[in-house]
Amino acid sequence: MKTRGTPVPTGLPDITAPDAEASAWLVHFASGRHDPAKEQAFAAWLDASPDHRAAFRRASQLWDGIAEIDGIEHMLAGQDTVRIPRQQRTPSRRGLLLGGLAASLACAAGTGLLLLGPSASDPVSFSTARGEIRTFTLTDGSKITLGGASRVEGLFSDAARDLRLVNGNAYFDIARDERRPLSVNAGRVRVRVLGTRFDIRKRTGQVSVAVEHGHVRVMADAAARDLRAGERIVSDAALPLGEVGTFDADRVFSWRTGRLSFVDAPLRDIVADMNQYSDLPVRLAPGAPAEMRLTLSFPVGQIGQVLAGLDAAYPLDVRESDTEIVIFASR
Amino acid sequence: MQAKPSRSDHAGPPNIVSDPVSMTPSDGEPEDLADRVRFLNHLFRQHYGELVGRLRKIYGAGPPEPEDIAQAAFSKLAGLEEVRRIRSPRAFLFRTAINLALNSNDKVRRGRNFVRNSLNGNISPNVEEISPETVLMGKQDLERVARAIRRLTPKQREILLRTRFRGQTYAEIRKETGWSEADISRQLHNIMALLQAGLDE
Repeated sequence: MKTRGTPVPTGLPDITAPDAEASAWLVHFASGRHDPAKEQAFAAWLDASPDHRAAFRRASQLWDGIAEIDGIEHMLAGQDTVRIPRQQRTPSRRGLLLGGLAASLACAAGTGLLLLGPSASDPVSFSTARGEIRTFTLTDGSKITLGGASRVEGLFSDAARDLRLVNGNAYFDIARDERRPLSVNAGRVRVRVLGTRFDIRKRTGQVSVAVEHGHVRVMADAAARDLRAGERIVSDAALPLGEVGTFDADRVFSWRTGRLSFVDAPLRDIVADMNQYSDLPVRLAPGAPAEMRLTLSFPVGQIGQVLAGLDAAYPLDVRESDTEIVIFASR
Repeated sequence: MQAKPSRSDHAGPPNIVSDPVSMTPSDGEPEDLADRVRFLNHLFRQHYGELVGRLRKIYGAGPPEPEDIAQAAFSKLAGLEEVRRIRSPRAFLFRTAINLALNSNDKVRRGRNFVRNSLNGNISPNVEEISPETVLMGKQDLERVARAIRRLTPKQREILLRTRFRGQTYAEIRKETGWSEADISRQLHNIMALLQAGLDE
């Protein structure tokens, strides 16, 4: 991997020079590196001006004070629970509460789940940031696990559970409810179930559905197919519904444990999935071999290392800048 | 890293406690020992279970073992002169336990001690935040920082958890996550800048 220059954080708020220097020192001492020269430099910086000392005290106070925040352990190490609000529909309302708050509400209610009230009709919206994998628990016991940079929106009412995969991918573990079938739309593809476990993934121009348990009906335009456990189908622009095939569950579901696995997959798809987790956007330059087939498996946190490996092993040239990672064909 | 009141409106030098046993209680009357023990027991009953639960969320089963550092935090609290004047025993105990856990990593402890000594002119390195007047942040500041933390990316939250709470060095974090040390350092710079900005909102 070729890296240019030193990354400079951009888009960050302005803070005064002594405060910025103080936090740089603080970050250095958090690194655990022992460097006597740095220690001398720090002592000199501290003695150079009372402003430096005051700034460093403020930074230390902030650093130490983080531990005084009520519920900080949930904010940093929490799992979120989603509560579907029990009130008339308010379009802007997000049915998502952050970990600490949701957990404390659940405790206050004496239960992890709040039941849907009568005549409820509630918009729900869940999303994850790049690099994040998170499971949301709904009030009916259903669970939705989102991969990185993914979004699911929809409406839960007494009569139906209608969701839409806006982008990314999601694994649904849906509580069976004969009275309220659940449907998930992903562009032209619709999936309809009573209760089951399945995975749906949206990439540019392509949607795939894989069923782990139970059965689902997949519809696209006028076509429909029934899928049973262990079956998978892909829809793309050329073919609204392809053949029903089987799939390797360990591989297809491995993203839930933070691992991406590809068998003989085009580089284009690999890059698309990497972008759900990579800090920097990964892009194929014009002329890069987008259709090149690769077999890979790696933790989502090691995209940098994987790209460096591709650069070394294949006729690819991977260049990282401060803002993006671009893959070129080697010349 | 010792934190002390250094509020902008605080006149005079910051109050550095160099001796855990001060000579004169504030009310001029020596505190009745039996009373004190009763009060400490009351605090223990009230906070110990929850404290262990909070620590378990961060350290799992350990190491450090949540029960051990919770006990150690109570020992610190029991050593305080004016134990009744702690603004929030719950927050004090949690912060103390976390700092004790950080000190269980030699590399991190070295850095923390060096910084504290540079800042306070070599007082005993074992003295750590033993003043009940220690007010790190007011309620409003805490809320501001909490808001800023909620806006961090999951990766930034993970890095904050590992550095500030688990006391992991960059090298250890790199081993467990695959993130480069330069990346971790850059992220932590950004985190600090965002939290500082959050305080000024």
